[in-house]
Amino acid sequence: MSHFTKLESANIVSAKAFEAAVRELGFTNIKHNSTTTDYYGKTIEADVVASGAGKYDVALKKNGEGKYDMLADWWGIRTHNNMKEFAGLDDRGIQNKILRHTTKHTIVDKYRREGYRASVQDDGKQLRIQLSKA
Amino acid sequence: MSKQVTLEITEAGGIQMLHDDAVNLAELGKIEVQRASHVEFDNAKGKWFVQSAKTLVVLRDDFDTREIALEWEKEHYSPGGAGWAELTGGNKA
Repeated sequence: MSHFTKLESANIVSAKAFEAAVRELGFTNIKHNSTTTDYYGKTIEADVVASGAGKYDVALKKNGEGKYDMLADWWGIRTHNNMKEFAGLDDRGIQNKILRHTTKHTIVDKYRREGYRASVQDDGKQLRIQLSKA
Repeated sequence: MSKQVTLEITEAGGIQMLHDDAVNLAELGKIEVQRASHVEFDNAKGKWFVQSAKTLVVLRDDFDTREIALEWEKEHYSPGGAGWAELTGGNKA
């Protein structure tokens, strides 16, 4: 008598996991407590700003619930950054890919800290994490 | 915790898995939980059986012990198992 559990969309709760995710996807520079610029050219303070993959960066800002929101000029990233990992994706697809990798690192980091062995299987389409403990 | 649990990260950055108390997905957002299967004893046959909660099809009915039935059921409905697609509506591979 098993149950199936589904989390439709995971919140970003770990800045460290986000940093690992964006590095994996091609952003090379990480700054903390820095600023970014939105689609309208407005400067926004952020907790984490990832850059180095083109003109446009992606940032993380803590919200009132203690979780994080992603901030970026998604159009700019899609049309000007020319990043291999985002080729063929629309704005939502780019956000989802960053979220997907952030979720992966959040789970792997958390359960490795708790003594589990975490094995990641990623064929580009299906992404699975096997957790095991002796 | 059971010895092993497998999670699948969806394209939208969500997570789906066969429920395991050791992995608390509620820390990451709002979860939905639904029954996947039933494991019952068939008094006439004297064997344990595994039944799909969604289709009510009896998947196997020849288990000597409940423990073996539960092990089989977990493997069947975990990511990569033959029953995974039934739970997710996706591909089983």
